[in-house]
Amino acid sequence: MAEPGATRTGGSGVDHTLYLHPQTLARLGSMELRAQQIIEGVMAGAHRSPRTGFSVEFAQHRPYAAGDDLRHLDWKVYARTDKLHLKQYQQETNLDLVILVDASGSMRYGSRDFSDASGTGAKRGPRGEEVWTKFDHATALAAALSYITLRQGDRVGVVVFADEIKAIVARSGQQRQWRLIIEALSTHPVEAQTDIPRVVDQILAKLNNRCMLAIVSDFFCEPSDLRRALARVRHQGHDAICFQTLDRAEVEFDFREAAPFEGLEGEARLRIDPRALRRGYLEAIERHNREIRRTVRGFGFDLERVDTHGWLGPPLAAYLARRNAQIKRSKYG
Amino acid sequence: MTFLHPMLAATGLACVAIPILIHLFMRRRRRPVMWGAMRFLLEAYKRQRRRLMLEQIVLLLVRCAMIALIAIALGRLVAGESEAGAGARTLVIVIDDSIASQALDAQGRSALDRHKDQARTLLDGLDSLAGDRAGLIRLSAPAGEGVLPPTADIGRVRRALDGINAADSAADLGGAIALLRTSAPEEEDEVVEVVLLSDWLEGTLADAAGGSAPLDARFHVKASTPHERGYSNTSVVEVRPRRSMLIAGSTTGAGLSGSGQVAVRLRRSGNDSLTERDIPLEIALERPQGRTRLASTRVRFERGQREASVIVPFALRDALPGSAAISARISEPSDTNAIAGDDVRRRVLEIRRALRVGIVSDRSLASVDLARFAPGDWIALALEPTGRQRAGKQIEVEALLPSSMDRARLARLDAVVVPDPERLSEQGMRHLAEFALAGGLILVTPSARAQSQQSLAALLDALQVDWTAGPDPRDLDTSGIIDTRDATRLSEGLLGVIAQELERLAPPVRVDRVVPIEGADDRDIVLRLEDGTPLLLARLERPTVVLLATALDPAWTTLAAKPLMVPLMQEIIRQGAGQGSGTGSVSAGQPIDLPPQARALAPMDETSEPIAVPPASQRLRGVRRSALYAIVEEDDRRDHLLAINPDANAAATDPMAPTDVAERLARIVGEFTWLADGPDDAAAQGTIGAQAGMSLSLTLLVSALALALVETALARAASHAETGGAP
Repeated sequence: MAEPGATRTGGSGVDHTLYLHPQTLARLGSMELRAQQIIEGVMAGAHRSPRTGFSVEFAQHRPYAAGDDLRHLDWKVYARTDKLHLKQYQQETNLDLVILVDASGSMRYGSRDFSDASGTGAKRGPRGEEVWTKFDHATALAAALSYITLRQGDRVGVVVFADEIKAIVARSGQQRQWRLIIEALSTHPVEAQTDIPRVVDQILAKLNNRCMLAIVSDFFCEPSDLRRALARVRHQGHDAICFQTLDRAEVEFDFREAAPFEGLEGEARLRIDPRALRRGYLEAIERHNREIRRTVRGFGFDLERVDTHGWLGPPLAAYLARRNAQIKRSKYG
Repeated sequence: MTFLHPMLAATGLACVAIPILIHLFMRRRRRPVMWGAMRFLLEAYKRQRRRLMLEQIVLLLVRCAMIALIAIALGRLVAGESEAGAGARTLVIVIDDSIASQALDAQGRSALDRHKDQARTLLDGLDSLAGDRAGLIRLSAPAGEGVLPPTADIGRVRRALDGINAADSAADLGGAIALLRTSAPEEEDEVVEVVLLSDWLEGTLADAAGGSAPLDARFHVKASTPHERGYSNTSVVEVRPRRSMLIAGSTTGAGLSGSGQVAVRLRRSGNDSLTERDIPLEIALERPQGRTRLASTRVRFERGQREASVIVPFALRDALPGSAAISARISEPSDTNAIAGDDVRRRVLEIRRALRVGIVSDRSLASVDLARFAPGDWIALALEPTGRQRAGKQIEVEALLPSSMDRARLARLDAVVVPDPERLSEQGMRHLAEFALAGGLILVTPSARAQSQQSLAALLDALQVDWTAGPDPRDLDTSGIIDTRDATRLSEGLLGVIAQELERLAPPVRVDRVVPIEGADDRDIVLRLEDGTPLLLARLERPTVVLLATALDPAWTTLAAKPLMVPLMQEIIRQGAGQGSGTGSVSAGQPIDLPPQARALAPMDETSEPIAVPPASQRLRGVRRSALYAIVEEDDRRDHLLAINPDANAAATDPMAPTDVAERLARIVGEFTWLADGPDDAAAQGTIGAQAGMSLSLTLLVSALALALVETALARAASHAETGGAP
């Protein structure tokens, strides 16, 4: 696979390194993305298969039952205990990662300078914006996830959505896949409202094997909608990771001076004194985030909050580390 | 509730709009923030909208109220009935700078200085920025010369106040009230505060009379309280040379020599009048060439005696002819003499070598024998009893032919005697009238030879006197005898010097025929017959005219042949000529009529600028400062002097009871209130309104501070000052 820094632009003219900062790459070097749940891959890989059988890696013993294949008897155990046990093995499969990136209007917000966050120090993004938006951060996250996934030999695809699916980059394990993903994300318009249940329905209809879904969004949607969407994901047996991308200004809301606020998804203009509303706003967004977290974890999925003002590497690495540790605990004991 | 500084308050209250304007300005200036998490903002806003709006309204009201309170405090809100009235104040200070204000207290501080301090304190309570105006009136006669109409230039009033020196004239309260009326506000609801600052001594209100209507309700008058103790003072109230013209008659060396007498009267006022005291007195001759001490004496006051008179003889040596003033001065300062300005008094007199008298006659005088003597001859003989050729005569007589009686001829004379008006032509009468107006003395008698006295009547008419001569002489039923019973009146009149001799010399005189004179004021009649018939009349102001109602003819009277004739004629000419010589003495502050040629009055001590005489009239309203002045004529001649003396009556320093003062003031100014309980507290009391305003301002400022704390707490409660993280 070609290193991200080797080719800076693809056919669309997009500088792919805008979204993969060297610091991020340095942190992700030895990380692997492992599915928490067992994924049935179409390729043999590093991930566990739900089909326990007679593969390379030993899984467990079980007592012999009439009709079992005698080739799987463990003769050494019979010699020591005079009892018949069969050896069972786990089959390793490939991981299909589908990254769902929210391109609704609210993702267009950002308060960080683009030059400060981008990998190349460019002052403007592909859409001409001087700020590092949440969508830019989502793009960088998708690029990082793609990079890790492709380096493990797994397949990765991207779905850009808002109130419906806006664009799809089909799953592939080819080396140029991450460039296609970045090109698709960096040039896509960010607008409209979010309709996650509808989008998830559309995506699940297209998946014919169990995958890992990485949903990158600010989740400024109704928790009930998210619950309905994740329930279907769960029901279909897919794994999911939710990355809640928030700008620091949205979390802290430390505006000092009165100003009119205008919604990015067509909400009415509101002339307020932000200091007067800060407490109420923070309570509202925190309450919403709690509800989102409860919803996600209720289905056994993970939710990780990503701050657009921070580097992508540290929180992603910390997340992956926690995830690997969790996999090992579930595997060994 | 009124503002002392309404403009300031209005400006401050206008600043209440500042928070609102800032709010509106900030709304316009802000660019919208494109916000992603709008749903949470809307949620918070919907939940807190009422509270936020309430907070904002309360905050806005608190901030506006805070500014309004500060504005009101700066405007110095005064509670209750304030002297300031509504809006800007107009204050007119009437300050007593009359001679009584020269009185020094035990600490050597004059009453005027105290009045000035009070006035300054009152002015301190004004604010020109707030539209306050101030005026100043000097109470000394003639009232005025302050700052009127009231002006917003308070500094100008202060400068005028600083420049006031105590006058030697009386208080002219009536004049001050008349001036105040000129500054009456145009609007009915406007108020002029008037503060009268005076000690209200006996002399201050001595001549005060409520002639005109009191001030109306637009004037709020306050008066300082009367001085409780008064002062001890001694005044020279009269200086009267026995003769108003000093005729030396002989020369010694360069100048004239002679002798004279001067009557001086002193008056004591205040507590010191209860003690015995000797007052040293110095008599001096003052003239442009310098001051010459003539005599000194001491005036004895017995216990309880308030007035004392003394006649001081003096000798005159080496005096030059001309105008001079004789002065009487208390020569030693004393703790019991509070006012220095009234310690000297002057009287102008003429020093002459001889008087020149013209007697209208168609022949040389006394050129016939005694049996053919005409009235003019008798008069000439009486004026030159020692003979016409003798050197060193004090009166020189010459015949004045009616045909040669022109202006130039008359100008050389001091007096003209007209013993026979029938001989005068109309032109001659006009010349005599001009002569009399210029200061010459006219002595006129009826014509002895004419049955009709038409010419006498015409002459009196030409001389512009009010006397009317009857056309026909009246023969008395019995010979008239001169009445000498009223010795006091005689001693004060034209014949004062010979008043004592009159009792002996008058009775032998018989009068058989007189010309009846009507229209004469009682003061003009010098001598009467015992039946009351006027015999000798004198008008001692210009035109100076003396009329003898009988002709000096044996058919009319025996006077010409009696011993009284010589002293009578001598005294008429000597005193009459002096009276009409054009010099005199007036009191400070009184109107002064000056001769036509006068252009200015120049003080002899040169301590002040000459006072110009208004060209349109020969009348000065009055001069405040007593001094000896030279009358400056057109060609800068300064032949005549004018003594302006302190107003002795106004220098009476006895205290007055507040009730008496209140009664007199009320008659003049109308309704008024006292400024304070005590004179020393008057200044502080005068700013009662301002002080009340200040105390209210402090309360308002404290309230504003409390509101500021409330605003801070409200702002913090509304999270405006919160800097922490998410809750």
